[in-house]
Amino acid sequence: MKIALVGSPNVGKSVIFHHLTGKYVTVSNYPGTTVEVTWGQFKWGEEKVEVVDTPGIYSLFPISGEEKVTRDLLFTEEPDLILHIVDGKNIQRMLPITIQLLEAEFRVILVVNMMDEVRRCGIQLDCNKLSKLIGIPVIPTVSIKKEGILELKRVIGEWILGMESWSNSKILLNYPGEIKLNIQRISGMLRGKYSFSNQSMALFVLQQDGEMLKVVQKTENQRTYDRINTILEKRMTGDKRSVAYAITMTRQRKAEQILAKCLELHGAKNPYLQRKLSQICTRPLSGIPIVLLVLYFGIYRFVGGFGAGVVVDFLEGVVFRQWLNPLFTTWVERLLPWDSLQLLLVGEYGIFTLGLRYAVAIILPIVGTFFLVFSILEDSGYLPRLALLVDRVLKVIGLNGRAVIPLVLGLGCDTMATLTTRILETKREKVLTTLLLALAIPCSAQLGVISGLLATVPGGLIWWLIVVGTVMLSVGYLAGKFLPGEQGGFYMEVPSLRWPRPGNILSKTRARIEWYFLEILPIFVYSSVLIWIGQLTGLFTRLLSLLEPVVKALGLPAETAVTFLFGFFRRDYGAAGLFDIYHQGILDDGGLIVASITLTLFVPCLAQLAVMIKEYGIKVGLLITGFIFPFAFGIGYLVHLLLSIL
Amino acid sequence: MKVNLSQLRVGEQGKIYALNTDKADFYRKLLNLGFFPGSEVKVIQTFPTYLIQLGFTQIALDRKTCGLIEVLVTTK
Repeated sequence: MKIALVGSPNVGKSVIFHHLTGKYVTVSNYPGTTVEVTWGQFKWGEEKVEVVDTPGIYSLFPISGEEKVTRDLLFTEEPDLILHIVDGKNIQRMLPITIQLLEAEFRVILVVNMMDEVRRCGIQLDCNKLSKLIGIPVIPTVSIKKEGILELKRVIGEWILGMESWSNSKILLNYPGEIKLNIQRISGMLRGKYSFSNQSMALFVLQQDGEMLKVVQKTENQRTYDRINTILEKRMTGDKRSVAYAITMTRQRKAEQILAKCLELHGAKNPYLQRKLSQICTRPLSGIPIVLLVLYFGIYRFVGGFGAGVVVDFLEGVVFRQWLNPLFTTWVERLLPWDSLQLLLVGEYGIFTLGLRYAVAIILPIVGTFFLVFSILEDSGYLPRLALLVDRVLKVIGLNGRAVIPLVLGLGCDTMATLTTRILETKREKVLTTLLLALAIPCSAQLGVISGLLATVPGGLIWWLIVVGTVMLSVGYLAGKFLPGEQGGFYMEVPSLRWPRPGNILSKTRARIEWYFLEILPIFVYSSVLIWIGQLTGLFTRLLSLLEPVVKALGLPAETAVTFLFGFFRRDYGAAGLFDIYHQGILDDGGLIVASITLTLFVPCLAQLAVMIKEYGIKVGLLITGFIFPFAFGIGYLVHLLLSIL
Repeated sequence: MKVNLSQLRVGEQGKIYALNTDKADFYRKLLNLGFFPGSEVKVIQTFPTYLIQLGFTQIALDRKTCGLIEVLVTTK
């Protein structure tokens, strides 16, 4: 038994998924945060029910990457039931998707979420009447307050037990003459079995949906396919736009007709306070100071000062160095009297003394505090407002406001951020953002360590900001000029501001930290093992001796070569290495600036490279890395020269 | 009076008349966002980016995109 949650971005799919399955996916008040499908399950009596959460869609006809993910899922998995979740305030815009799902002959329960906002806006919606009009169950909910979830579960349960007899809703859509005729023609020709109804397949075909055309070509015989093509070429007078228009508007008008009978909007308006708050965030005069405040307190003071400072000092300096490491070292030396094994576990690069210490004591506090701040920003609905404010700046580097989410998330973890570049619309934007993430956006561990260390050097942070900022702007600007394709327009829904709920924030931060920790811990352990093997075979020293002249050219002590090697395993690992080296006192002020800048720009780590290759192919991944490697050291060298002249 | 959405000032309202783009996907996207002929829009803000009230949501659009949306001015 399979249930799919489907709906537009930012309507609360993931929260409902959580209520059903107990699993948490990243929920937020930002369109497009679910970029992959997430599976979970629950039990109803004896029946095991699988539930899948999908990225937001505006229509079943996909335009962006994440919409495609959703449609592919519906097409290949053929869920037994779909929960179509809509934002009650905007049901006029979302009901057409319900209609599309019904046209495709899915069994659908319509979940009208955010009923509290619906009431606050003065909208009256009669869900019972709506249910009668469209012939499927309609359940009102306020998912973040858990209202209506029991009822939803009850209805799902009834359906699972077969108590509810489903008659497919017969919404009759009256498409304009030519389209109607051709739908009949095409759907009559289709012989294959599709997960979507023939009518719905015919509609995709008429709109020349490339992917569906391919599916039809594969399934039907050549003659049918040729006949379909003839219809597309000869029997359709309008262009793609006018066909899309006619089809969309037919569904829209149908939705309006239905809603006219169950929805009242007398004097409906957005609440005053919310409107004012929203304005403060989006007007440049008040918005830009707010951005700066958020950056200063949220990132610099909380993540940099508290996370990377207070917490790291305690965990690293006290817990690990004073208590755990000596304790563990003594144990290992007593229990395992073999030198090489001791080296692996508690040596200079040991799994415990280095791998675990880096992961738990240095990275975790920084990344954890960052994700906490990020979750609050996300849930409050602040990020789309930030996107709106910086759209013009991002246009300079060939991007637009939409890129804010991956770029800001990159300040947490560039690997995670590279995954979310999917929400961008064109390949050009995606690759450009991926490049900038790999090159110029430091992850939170780097940011935390680097800003903490550089704060002790007069002018250090300024240098770092200017150099990294200039690199980002100029590389973005040039890449934007040279990459093929046109600059995409900016459009984004700006959801209403909401008070973040502490419970949601905490579980979400926890989910992200878990994801992150599971991702890095093995790599840290493997790195220790690899380095250990390298040490035993002498390969490690040879690699280091290769890097050493490069590092020396930058005016850095030979020991920093290790840091750069670490940085390739994991960005944050390198940052942690820098922290170590600085505390050994072998790095002067200039060296620290050069090392920080080079390390920030230096190659994406292994995990990020893997994601880059997974998303955009080996060519793009290697090209980006091949560019960054010499470039980062080149810039490092320039800064070194500049510093020695000054 | 017919003008582009980008020509409206803050507080002015209009009814969408046409979407002037040749790109089918982009056209479809605008339709799906709710910018179809007949929808009522109100300009909330124009700088640094346009912010448009559309039903109960607000949608941020850049100037270029606003320039593609033709509206009938309905401000009294």
